[in-house]
Amino acid sequence: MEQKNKARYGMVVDLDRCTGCGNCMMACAVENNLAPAEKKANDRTGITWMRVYAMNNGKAFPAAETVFVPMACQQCDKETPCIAVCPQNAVDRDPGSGIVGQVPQRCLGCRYCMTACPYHARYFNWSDPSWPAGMEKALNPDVAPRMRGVAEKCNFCHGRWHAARARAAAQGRSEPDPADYIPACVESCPSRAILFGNLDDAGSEVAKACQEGNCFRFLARLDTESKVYYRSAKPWVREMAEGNRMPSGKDGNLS
Amino acid sequence: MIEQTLPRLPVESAPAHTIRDWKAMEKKWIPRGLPRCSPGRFYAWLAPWLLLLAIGAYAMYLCFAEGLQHTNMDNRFAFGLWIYLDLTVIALGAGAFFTGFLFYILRWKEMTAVINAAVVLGFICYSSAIAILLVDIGQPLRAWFTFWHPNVHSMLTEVTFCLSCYLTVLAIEYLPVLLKNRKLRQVPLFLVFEYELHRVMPVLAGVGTFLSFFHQGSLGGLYGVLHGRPFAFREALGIWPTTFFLFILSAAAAGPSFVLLMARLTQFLSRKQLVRAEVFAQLGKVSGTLLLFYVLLKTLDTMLWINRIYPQTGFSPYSFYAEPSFGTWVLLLEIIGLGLVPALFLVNPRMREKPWVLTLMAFLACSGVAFNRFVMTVQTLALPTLPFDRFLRYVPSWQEVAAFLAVLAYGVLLYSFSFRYATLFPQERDLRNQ
Amino acid sequence: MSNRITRRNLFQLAGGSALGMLLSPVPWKLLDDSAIWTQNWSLTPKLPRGPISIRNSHCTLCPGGCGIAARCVGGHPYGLRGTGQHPVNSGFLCAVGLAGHHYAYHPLRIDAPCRFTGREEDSRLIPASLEALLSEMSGSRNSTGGSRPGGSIAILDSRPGRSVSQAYQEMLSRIPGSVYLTPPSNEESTLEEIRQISGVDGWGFDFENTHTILSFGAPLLDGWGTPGRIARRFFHRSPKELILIQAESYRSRTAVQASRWLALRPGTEAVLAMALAQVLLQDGLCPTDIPVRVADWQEFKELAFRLPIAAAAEKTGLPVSAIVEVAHALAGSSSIVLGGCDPGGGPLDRTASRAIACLNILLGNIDQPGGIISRREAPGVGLHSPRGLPLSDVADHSIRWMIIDSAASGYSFPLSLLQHKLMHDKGRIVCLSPYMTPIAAYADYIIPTPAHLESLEEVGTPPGAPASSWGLSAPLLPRTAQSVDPLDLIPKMSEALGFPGGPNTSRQELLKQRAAAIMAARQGTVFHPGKGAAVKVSTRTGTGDFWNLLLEGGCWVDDPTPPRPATRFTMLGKEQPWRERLTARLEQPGPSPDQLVLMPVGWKNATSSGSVPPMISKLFQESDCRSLAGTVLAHPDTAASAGISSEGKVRLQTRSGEMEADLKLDPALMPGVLHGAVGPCVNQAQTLRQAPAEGLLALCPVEEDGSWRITPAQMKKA
Repeated sequence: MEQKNKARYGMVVDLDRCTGCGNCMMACAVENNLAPAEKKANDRTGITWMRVYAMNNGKAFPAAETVFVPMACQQCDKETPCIAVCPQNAVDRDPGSGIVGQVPQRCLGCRYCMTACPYHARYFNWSDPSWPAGMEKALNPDVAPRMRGVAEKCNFCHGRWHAARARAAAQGRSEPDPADYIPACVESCPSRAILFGNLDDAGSEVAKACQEGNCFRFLARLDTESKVYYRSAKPWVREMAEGNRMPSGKDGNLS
Repeated sequence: MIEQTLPRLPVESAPAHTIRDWKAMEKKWIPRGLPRCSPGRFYAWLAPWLLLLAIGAYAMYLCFAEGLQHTNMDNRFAFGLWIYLDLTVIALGAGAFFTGFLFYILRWKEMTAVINAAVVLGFICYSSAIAILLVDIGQPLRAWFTFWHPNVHSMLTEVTFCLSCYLTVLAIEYLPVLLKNRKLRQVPLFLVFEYELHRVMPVLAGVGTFLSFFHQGSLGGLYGVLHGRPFAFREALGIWPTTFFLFILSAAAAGPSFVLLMARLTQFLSRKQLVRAEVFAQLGKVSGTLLLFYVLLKTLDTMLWINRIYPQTGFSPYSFYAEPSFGTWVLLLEIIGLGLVPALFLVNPRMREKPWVLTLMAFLACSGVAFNRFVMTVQTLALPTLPFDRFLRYVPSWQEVAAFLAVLAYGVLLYSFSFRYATLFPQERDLRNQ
Repeated sequence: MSNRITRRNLFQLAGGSALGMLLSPVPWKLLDDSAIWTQNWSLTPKLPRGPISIRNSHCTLCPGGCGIAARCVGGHPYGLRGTGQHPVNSGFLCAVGLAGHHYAYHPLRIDAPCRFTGREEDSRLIPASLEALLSEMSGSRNSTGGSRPGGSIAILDSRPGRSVSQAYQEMLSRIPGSVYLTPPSNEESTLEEIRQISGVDGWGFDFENTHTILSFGAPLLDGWGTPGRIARRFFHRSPKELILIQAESYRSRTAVQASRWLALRPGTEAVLAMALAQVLLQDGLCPTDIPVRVADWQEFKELAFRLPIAAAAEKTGLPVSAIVEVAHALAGSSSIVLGGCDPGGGPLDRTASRAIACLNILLGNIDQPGGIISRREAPGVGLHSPRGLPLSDVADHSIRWMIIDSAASGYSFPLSLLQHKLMHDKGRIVCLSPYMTPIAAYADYIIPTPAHLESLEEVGTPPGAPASSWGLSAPLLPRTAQSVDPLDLIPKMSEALGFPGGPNTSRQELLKQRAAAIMAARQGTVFHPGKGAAVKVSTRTGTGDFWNLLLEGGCWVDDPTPPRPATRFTMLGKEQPWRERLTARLEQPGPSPDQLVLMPVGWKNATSSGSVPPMISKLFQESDCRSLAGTVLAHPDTAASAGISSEGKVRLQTRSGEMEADLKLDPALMPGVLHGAVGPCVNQAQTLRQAPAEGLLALCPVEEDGSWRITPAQMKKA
């Protein structure tokens, strides 16, 4: 199952820069033809490939501190939990980019992948996606809308990856120019909190950044080798994120 | 000429215009020598179950027509009541494979008394599991994709293959029970078919046992392989996590208890003695012994889990039990209250002799397995993984409950029909004559 | 053997056929086709097809003036991003702007003049023709034109400074007793006070060169001004270069990012500002020329020392050391002190704004690099000042016709404010809006105007910008047939009111005249989106080229304005009303500890008064990224003091009324304060049949000073 990727695209998200503005969520939803919320949708049934969470240090006023955590599919590289469990191979990893993708046309909607994902980065179409009348004209022509009853998730804007590859091929190059392939969330982030690029390209900004001391991965101890790194200069953020969590209190905050 | 030589099928023979005629005709379908209640009473008993079935069918229709928005499952609680139900009924349905294994493979002749009932119960459990799974998946029309593009690494692929194969086996095992009906036996073809089936039955039982072993294990593996969910994850023995073996063992232990419990219930409802006390005791003994063995392994597994997997995944040992409503009592209830206690009672011959102890302990054993499946499905998903997660709650919607009850109703209906028109308990006639 | 077909034969035939069928390809083909059908069924939409192109324009949702690059398929925009290298927004948009192209398909889009039958919950939407409006206007002639202060015709212009605004003002200038209103500008409140203190107009914030910013609740990192500009200053350089001190009671997104958060008790902004002034004066931190330049120096000094620093510390809830440290930090380098407020909470009271403006003068920030710098107006602004009267300053019950141009939604105010200004019984509201908003639902006539990106618009200087700028928003989408251009409505309304006249040029001509005026001034640079670079205006030749460039998303930006020599200031005003007001504020006793206060919180461009794209539901409804309207956030102790121990439904009560809300507990919040989320209606299931609700702002009465930020409240379990 472990295969060597030609490239390994990944991210480094600087939590100290994230203002929680929600641009990444909006840009992602627009780019990837997510439907606006259904009437009854809530934070547990809605589809947000990219989602901004708030993480608190668990202390009370005035010692409380918060960071915003943009969380999309973490693109796990090792024993990718969702790939291993999918009964009909509807989740795959592209050897050209290392991107874990979902094939909605093959998904039968068992949701086993969703229980397997510790990052809650997978979403299910609980109903038929619907857009306000006429808005289908404003859909992105490069991304197929999903149907009811299938799982979906972030794929690092795979439509943009294909387009960048096509442009590279037209120019006679085998690999796309790194500057030509930027996911929507990265592009829209005004505080430039998200670095994106090929982790295997030692010269890339993202490869250098993920080696830095204050870089970490969420739930690193689960050993899924995710390709989305985070960084923060705040020690409490790193300690909490890496899985050294304390018993959760009544309200879910750390005590 | 054909009409003269062949016995006529009842549909053709009875011009059932009057209720009396119909009653007489219905009586001919009931096995000889087995007293059964009047058809009126029988159908009155069925009516509420039929109603439940209809409500459930409507709920299922809603899910098929408009998607799973009719359930209260969500992206975080992606598995709910239905998966819990699947795991539980399949564990209880293990009575079929294990009794079959005892009867056909180990040649325990006394199991003749319950083998038919076990097969019917197994068939009900497995067919309802498949039915509910078809509602549970988002795209039922693509259900066959697993056979076409199977991912051999997925536990769910194993489950799907084994479940569907074993359901076929159970259907074939169930056929002779039906075909022994005295009206159906009048068709020579059925007679021959039934005879042939009997000859292959030990082979089928063997295949069934193998398949059943495998998918009981795979269902356990379903959660045990989730290395993203430290609460459910277990280390592997070979290629399977320990839950694989624990599920097999617990299902084998609960199966005979479930057969026992259902036979007792049938006795109670029909006010007849159907099975000799020795057989009940024997079932209890098998169940108790296996349960004791299971409790031992489960304890060992839990200790390993606390001391190895917890620390490795960075979660402190008791963080999973920090939520007051899911405290350590969960673990104690599962292993001691619903495991060790019934096991100790059931292995004790003196205790087994008391019918109410036997029934109660069989009930506790079945509840223990059901509770284990609940913990594995529901608690696993309720527990937080990310540092900013909260403990989640989930309450099934009426559609989910209705579908659940419809499956229950389907089981009751099929079992009632089988009890009335087939011979589920061969000892019934002898016991009555005594 | 008889040839009769028996029932049995039929059964056999059916059974045999079924078995035979299984061996044929038919069922398998059906199975396959059914699966393929699930991949192509009509329940998922068909994607648009056509040539792909990129068109540049400007966003007009708020005065931020962001350049947008639209990716289009067959000419229809399907994705927006900021125009790269744009001088105003540096290529970044806000979350609302990113879905700007969805506005045209808004489920609450109004396509014909209409109104609700009443202001009750069960009122119905009924047609209301433009002719009916004009005839009622003409019928009301006798009662208009009265001499009451505040006038009887008012236009509330949501985006002042446009050519259309000039036309509005021109129309009103012909009608005696009429009044031109502008919405509360939180972002420029400090600059407005400096204008009054100095008597000189035209100021901007030089964030680009400053080292320390003290913000009194201005949501600098949450949509303030032009978000791209602020982000560029904060994040595109090393953050160590800038110190942001955020003083507010709510741990806002800006407070989270700030170098220091001063958890200020609600309503004590003026006290903190004066305490800081005291430290500056005491420690000799003011530049030496300031006492000379301030006319009322002694009076101000006395006022600053009126409240001992320890007393101020107690009132504000801050330690004395924090106040001293902040004062020293501000004086130690180039700095800006700005007031502002949460967009949901409305404007900061003017007393506090005045104190904040004075602090800037004490620090010598005026006309200093990295401080508050001069900004000259763009050429061709016309006869009328872009500044209108704030709605709260209008005499109560004086307005017969209130015309609200509510295309923009960057601000919110309680509807009670409108209600108080309208004449009893006779007062009418005309709302020009493409979408149903709570204000529109409150109006007597709703006239549909073109939606966002559907008409040719202009974008002027963004709030707080260091230099003037001007650009066009060329339409990216066709206009709907029924929508009415406000410019076409002006002559009709003028005539109906008995004062005929008005612009007789088209919108395009009007804007061309403005472009020509800018071109003629030969100053500044013009940004070329295709090249991603700016060129000096003087080097360009034809006005036609300039116009075409603007239509293609070009943007004119003025050169830096040279500093004005030694401006003089009168801190407490000529008539000195500020001395009394500030004194009163300093001596006002603090709120009692067991009194809960309700503070509305919101997000610019997504407040309850305006409209938001349906996709914003991702942030509000499908995640916890933003608080849904009607959510009340409180510290667990605050809830406990009201006898509530868990989250869920609560009832809030103020002197304006009572309402149900969703309580969320957050131990990070200041005890004693209830933060009520004021938000838009985000659900696409919302239909035009139901009037969108005003939300928690209905509980916030407008105080005498025109603010509604802080309201004593009670909370109990629902």
